[in-house]
Amino acid sequence: MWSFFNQQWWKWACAFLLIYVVVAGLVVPLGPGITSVHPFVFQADSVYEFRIRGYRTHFSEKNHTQVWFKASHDIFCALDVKIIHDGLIQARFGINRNRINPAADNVFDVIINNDEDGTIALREAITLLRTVANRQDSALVNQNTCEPEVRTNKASAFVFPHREILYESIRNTFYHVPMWFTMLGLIILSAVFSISFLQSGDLKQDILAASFAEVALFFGLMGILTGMVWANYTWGAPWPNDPKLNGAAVGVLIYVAYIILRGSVNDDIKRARLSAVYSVFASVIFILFIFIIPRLPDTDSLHPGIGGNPAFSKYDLDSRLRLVFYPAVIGWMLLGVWLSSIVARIAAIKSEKY
Amino acid sequence: MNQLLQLLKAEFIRQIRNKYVFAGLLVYQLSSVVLVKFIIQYMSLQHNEAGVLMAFFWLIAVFGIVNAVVGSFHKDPESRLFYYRWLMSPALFISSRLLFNFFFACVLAILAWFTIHVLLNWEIHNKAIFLLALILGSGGYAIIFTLVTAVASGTLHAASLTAVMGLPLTIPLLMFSTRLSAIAAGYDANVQVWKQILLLLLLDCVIAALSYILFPYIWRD
Repeated sequence: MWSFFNQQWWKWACAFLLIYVVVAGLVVPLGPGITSVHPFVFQADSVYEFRIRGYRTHFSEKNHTQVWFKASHDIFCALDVKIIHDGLIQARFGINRNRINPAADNVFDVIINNDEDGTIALREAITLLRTVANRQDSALVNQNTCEPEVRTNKASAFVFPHREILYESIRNTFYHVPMWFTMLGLIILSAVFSISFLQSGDLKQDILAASFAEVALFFGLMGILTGMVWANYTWGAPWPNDPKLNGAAVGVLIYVAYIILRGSVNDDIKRARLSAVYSVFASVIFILFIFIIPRLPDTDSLHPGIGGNPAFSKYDLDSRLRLVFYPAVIGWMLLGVWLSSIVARIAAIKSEKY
Repeated sequence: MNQLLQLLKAEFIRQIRNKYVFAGLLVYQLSSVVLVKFIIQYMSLQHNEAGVLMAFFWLIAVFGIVNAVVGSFHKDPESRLFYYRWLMSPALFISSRLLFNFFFACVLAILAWFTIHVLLNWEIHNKAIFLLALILGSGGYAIIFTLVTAVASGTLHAASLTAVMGLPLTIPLLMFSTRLSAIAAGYDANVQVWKQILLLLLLDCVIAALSYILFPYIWRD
């Protein structure tokens, strides 16, 4: 490990990857999407003016912008569409009471299609109230479901996916998630070097184990911090009730205890031995914990990949996100090792056993 | 008056210098709150009162066990430990300690259950599963704290470090055992019981095996 620390190539790789992640993660724009539809409730038999706001959209007459409303499998076209500007559409729409499919959902998706943005949708945007207006609007007498003509997206620009709730904060995927991957990687490395110390009694291994654990704790704290900022924006609270947050808190507490333990033993060899034993014991429990908890049958998590996966399910990551996400994971992990190498060198110089 | 102020100041400074004692107390508090939070949250809201009793039970049982097990290493005088070391292998020694603490913890937890049952009229729906949850849960606590106390006994602040190091490690165990005991109490029938029992058993086995493997390294001196 020490000779690996002395090599240069992986530090260059780390710097290159992280610069790429920061630049690409901030420069690549978000794809077009619908952010809000107002009003969000309506009654049958009466026509409403829905104001549909888009983000980074290009609504215009020239690119065949069409709007339709979808409940389960029934698709209704807007009666007419008035484009105010690039990001705002007024669509008139209502539904005849006889056209309501009793088996279908009460919530309608709003879907917009044009040549430049492709097909964009806001799921469960408006809700049909079961009460009916007194008077039937004449525009709704002969209403039919319509077959929209869907065109493929002409401008296939390189963009990140537009997700409801997340919006621009989707970029935090490149920071928040790799923090935990790095923490886990460093914890495993720390446990490995603890075992190696217990077998060999070589204090250099102990310095490595301690440095990896300290940097793992740092990355854990950063993971919590980036997560709190993100949660505050998307879930409305910095510390919502979520089993994965408990796991994170346990991990941080365990490694705080590890550092306190190292601080309260004076003898070098004894400190190394006790902390190695604790590190192995704690890391096994921690890893068991974070791999079992999300798989428990009735744990509801706000995190993606619910029910069976500690990180993502395969649908959560878009192929364009992956192009930045995987380099981010490798880059942050290398940075973790880099930081550990510096911490380890300082410790080694202090103990004069370099 | 002046003397009193001087004494207060001395106490204050001593507390600040001994950060680990204070950290230990904080972790104690934090863990008890987390324990209560898990249980109250896990029991469904309709049975709030029973959830409070369950939280009471685990608080009483867990901190009884922790106090019982913590004594098991700190109270050994150095001379007796030296004698043990000379007399037997570490594997044998830790086995006896683990077994004794396991049974001791079970007895304490069962006594706590009995006391609450008698004094507060606490009825458990499925007594067999609750007993299993109690044995596996409190036994697991005993195992974790046996090893952690052994580690902490080599340090300068053994008593408070035990809490700081041990309590975070017990949270997985706490989650599993409170789940199982909530199922036994009859509030949550839609979870597969055997899976929960198996998980708890697996966790106990892993920590017992780890203690058995790791203890000889602490023992060397």
